[in-house]
Amino acid sequence: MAGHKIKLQSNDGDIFDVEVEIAKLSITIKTMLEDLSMNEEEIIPLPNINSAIFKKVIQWTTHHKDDPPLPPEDDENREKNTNDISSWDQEFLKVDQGTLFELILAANYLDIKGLLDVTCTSVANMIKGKTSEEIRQTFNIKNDFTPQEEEQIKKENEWCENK
Amino acid sequence: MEFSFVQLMDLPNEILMIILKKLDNVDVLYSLMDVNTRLNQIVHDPIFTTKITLMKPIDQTLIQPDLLLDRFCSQILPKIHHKIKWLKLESASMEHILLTGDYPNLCQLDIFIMHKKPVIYFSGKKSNFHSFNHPIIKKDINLYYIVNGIL
Repeated sequence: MAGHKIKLQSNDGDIFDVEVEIAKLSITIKTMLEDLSMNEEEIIPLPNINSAIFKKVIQWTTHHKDDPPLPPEDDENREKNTNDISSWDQEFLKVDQGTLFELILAANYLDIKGLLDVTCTSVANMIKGKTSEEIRQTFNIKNDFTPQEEEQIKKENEWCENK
Repeated sequence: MEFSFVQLMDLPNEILMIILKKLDNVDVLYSLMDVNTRLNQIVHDPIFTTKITLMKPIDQTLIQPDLLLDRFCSQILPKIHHKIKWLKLESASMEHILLTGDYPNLCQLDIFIMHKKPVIYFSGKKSNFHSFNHPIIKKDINLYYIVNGIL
């Protein structure tokens, strides 16, 4: 089976020849191939992913193809270590915010737990330690509170700022 | 690679929850409460408000302990105190924090005492905490002594 390739098509029409074993790191593609009896000659469409993002996904899965599977997450005892991104992944994730969020959406759609995990950890690191105003600036988030709600929040903030 | 315009707020709640679960609850509440209405709804989920550990941050370059404590006592705890079931506090700041709310659903209070000799003397009876005028504890109070940074 090693070395066999399948054809995957991004939503902008590019076709990628990808090794089956690498493609199967995506549970979504694995399911298509196994449960839906798609054969390896068919072109599998990926309607939610453009070619630029899919290239990045292939780059990540190729590097991580021999990684052991991640353990299931436990909400109660979840680990909060956001510092454990490997140096290769840190370099891989040096992208603009939009690309990072598209990678998250692609990892979620393709069901690639390791990629989803590391990209979400990267965003968590961007959030950590920032004030609410810094969060708005960093992520271009509009303050949509009503004037009354905003006034109430300002009053609460004054207590803090005057200290 | 072309510039992408997808932003944090374009992600579905399901993915925002995955991101936020990677942070301590205190970090989630400190950074995201009162940013916008959608994030406010998300951070009020019980997964982020049930168990609160208000200790000095390990990395104090990210958040100054005084700012963290002030924001929690003035803005965050008054909004979520009724949801908290488990509090982990340091002895030095516990009075300030406990006087901030009623904590009607608090089931467990863990107090970390950062001195060789405890700064409060506690017999294990719930009534000792009535000095704060809060009959707060329904179940457990645990004391942990931390000497020179070791539990």
